[in-house]
Amino acid sequence: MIRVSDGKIGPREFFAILYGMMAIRVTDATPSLMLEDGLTAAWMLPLISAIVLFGSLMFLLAILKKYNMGLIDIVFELAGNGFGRLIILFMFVTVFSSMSLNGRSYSDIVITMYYPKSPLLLIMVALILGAALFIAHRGLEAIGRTALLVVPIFMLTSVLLIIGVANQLDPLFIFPIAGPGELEVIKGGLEFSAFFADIIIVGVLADRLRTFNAYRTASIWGLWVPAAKMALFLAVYVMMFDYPAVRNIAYPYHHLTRMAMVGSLANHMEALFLALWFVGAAIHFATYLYISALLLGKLINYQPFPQLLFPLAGLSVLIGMLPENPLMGDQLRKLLLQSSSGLFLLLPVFLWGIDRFRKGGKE
Amino acid sequence: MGGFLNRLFGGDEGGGDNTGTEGLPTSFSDSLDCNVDQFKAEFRYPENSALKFRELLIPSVNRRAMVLFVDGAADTVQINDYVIRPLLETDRKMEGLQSLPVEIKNNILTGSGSELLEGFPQAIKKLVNGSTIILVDGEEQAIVVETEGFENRSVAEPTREVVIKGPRSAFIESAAINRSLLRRQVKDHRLVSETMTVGKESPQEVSILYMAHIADPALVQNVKESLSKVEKDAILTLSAMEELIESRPYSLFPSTMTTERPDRAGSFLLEGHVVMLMDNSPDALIAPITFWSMFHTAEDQFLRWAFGNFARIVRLIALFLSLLMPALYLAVVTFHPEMIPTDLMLAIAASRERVPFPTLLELLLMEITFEILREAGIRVPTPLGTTIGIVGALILGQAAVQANLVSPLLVVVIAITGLSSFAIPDVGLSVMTRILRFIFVIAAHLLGFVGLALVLAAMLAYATSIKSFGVPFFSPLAPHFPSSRDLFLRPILKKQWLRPLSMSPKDQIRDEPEGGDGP
Repeated sequence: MIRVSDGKIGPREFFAILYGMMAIRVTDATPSLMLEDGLTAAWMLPLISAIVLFGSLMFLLAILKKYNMGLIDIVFELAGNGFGRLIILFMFVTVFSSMSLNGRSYSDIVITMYYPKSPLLLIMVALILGAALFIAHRGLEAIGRTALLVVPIFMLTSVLLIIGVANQLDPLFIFPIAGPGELEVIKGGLEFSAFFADIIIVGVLADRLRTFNAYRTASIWGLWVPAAKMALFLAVYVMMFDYPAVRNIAYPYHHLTRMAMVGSLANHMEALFLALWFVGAAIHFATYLYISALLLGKLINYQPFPQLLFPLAGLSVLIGMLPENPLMGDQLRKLLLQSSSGLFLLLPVFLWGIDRFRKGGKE
Repeated sequence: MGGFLNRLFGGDEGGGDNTGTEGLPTSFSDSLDCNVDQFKAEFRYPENSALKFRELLIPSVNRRAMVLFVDGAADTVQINDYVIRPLLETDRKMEGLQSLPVEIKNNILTGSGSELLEGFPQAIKKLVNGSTIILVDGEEQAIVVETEGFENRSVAEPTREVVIKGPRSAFIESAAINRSLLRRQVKDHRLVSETMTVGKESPQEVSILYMAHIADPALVQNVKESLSKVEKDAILTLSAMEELIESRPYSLFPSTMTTERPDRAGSFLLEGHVVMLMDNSPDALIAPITFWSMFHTAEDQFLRWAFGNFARIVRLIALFLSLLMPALYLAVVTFHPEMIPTDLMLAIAASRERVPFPTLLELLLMEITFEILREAGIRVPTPLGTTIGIVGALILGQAAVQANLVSPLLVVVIAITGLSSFAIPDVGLSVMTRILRFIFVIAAHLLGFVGLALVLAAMLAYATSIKSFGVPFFSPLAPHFPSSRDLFLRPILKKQWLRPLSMSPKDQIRDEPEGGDGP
């Protein structure tokens, strides 16, 4: 039948959404946080996080398959109304505050690296209240399809960027391979697993996919591909700038685009990368905005949740304006990540445990 | 979306026989004079000389009969040969038969299409469409004979969708001939041709064609419902109809398209689209369309694989240039000058040195002049056509630069943009890019590449979320569905065995590629 807005999305669109949510992290202040902890072994952190989250994801997939509904409904079903609401509140607070701080961070990058004279508010409004709100308002289908159209381009340009800087890389910079020591690296990996915790959060969209298999395939790919990309880029940053110099670079991706050369003629391609990056950013924030609205809608039992998009977008711009400088925002972000890592790692295990317990009780 | 669905499934059923003949007795009386008077009154006889009568006596039954037709609509030679002569020359004995009109229709008239009618409204509709009505004294039925004789031009070559290689016939203003052109392309007994009437006061017939075994019934139903909802006194051409059946008349993105090539319409039919034809319209209206329908041309499939794809790549580049070139120039010059190689940048700076305007103003000035030039080029009579070229080339190209109104580089930018927009095959797509271009220019002026990126993302989100009769605009690419991958590029014909599933054709496979080289 013609697909008159069945509201469902396919595996490729879902993968593209995940890629847009997570892979874009290589471009913001995330690598700096990771380099701070992982030193030359920073590239292992995303992989360790991904391994840990993969375990968590397996638990999530098990429950999703069993209940065949979205994560929110499962939380309510398993954890009860009161406690479930608390969990959803936590999720909403994490997602929303992470979006607000990220929005600030992205606007800071633009102002620091490209438009030093532009007002911060203008960039934030254009990004979140403008493009992201519009895209989120067109619905999840629009987010997924737009992401699907542009994600192949992002992948291609990432490869081009690395090729562009390839002759300036020194592989020896990556040693000592274990950086601060194995234990430290593993600890760091656990700490930063919230970077990829989106893979658990998107469980709330599970009922919007056509089939469970689509969800499983897309989420497994959507975890590993961004993690691998992050690992690759962290390695490239270290190989490019060397340790400890790399610690002093605030936004390594944007410095990398400045160094990239395509032949001898086009040696300043950073504006093109800026444009592509911002298309990605618009989709990234649209996804976050949409998920925030979805969570808040469920939290306060408000069915027409797209109407929450506008107030949430406005609020997030306001919250984003709060930190007095980019460094403060980054500190808050780190705190948020470390505190929410545990929540997202343990939530699926917790739900799975309740499920087992209840099953045991019934028998 | 909710509103759209409501409009789609709710609402009352329009259409029907709204022929502007209220107050007419629905059935004929058995008196010939009475019936004829009724026709005369309807056609405002005698002030209106359009209605013609020919009274005669059918010798074999010795009854009076009246032949009516409308001047200009019916073909008098056909009436002579197929109606009047057989009636006068017959010597069949017709007493004792059950019905005189049936007998006349079946065994006396020699025309191929004739039927019986019982009411005035239908009879009047038939008359204005060129048919001839025969009324026999004492009978309550009228016989209609098809004697349509509107003037037609002959089938000519396409003017908008020109190809170097491929068939050369184009649709003309007659729906009957257009249907025949299409039947000639698609020789399949499952090609259904339904007829619907639109317009209340002067009804026009719209033919809806689709392949019964391919087109999705829900889609056909969808199109028919939008047609039946059209409420307008008169719709003269398909172009007017196009806007009336659209779900987003204000949108820049079209949801239907027209083609003047029967072969193209035929290939749309075979992919499960619905084709509409109408008298007076020298083109076919294709109902659900996607981006690809507008991006592809007929020739892509006629040319060899490499040439066809090369043309597509060129067109894709042209599409992007036409959409983004002025905005990119503006963004680079005002926000990101470091992108330009130093020598070129010095040259630009030197050429801009004497231009008093900011780049945006310069750009808009040139862009608007170009749009005026284009509009003038369409309206100007052919003998004056060369004038436009001279005015464009000399005044805009050279004089503007010499007068220090614009910089030479900008002329190049605008020229590339203009040229690119001519390379876009579909009118709807071309107009869309022309208007969107200005939005991009404003965005680039405000925020450089960041503004461009945000508007581009928003535009993509809009484009991917809209639907034409339920079919997403960018399907089957996004949302992804299995298809023959005839999207940006096309695979060789042998590999295009899958129909685009986003149209949900009932029969998904064109031809199974089994064993070895396949069919």
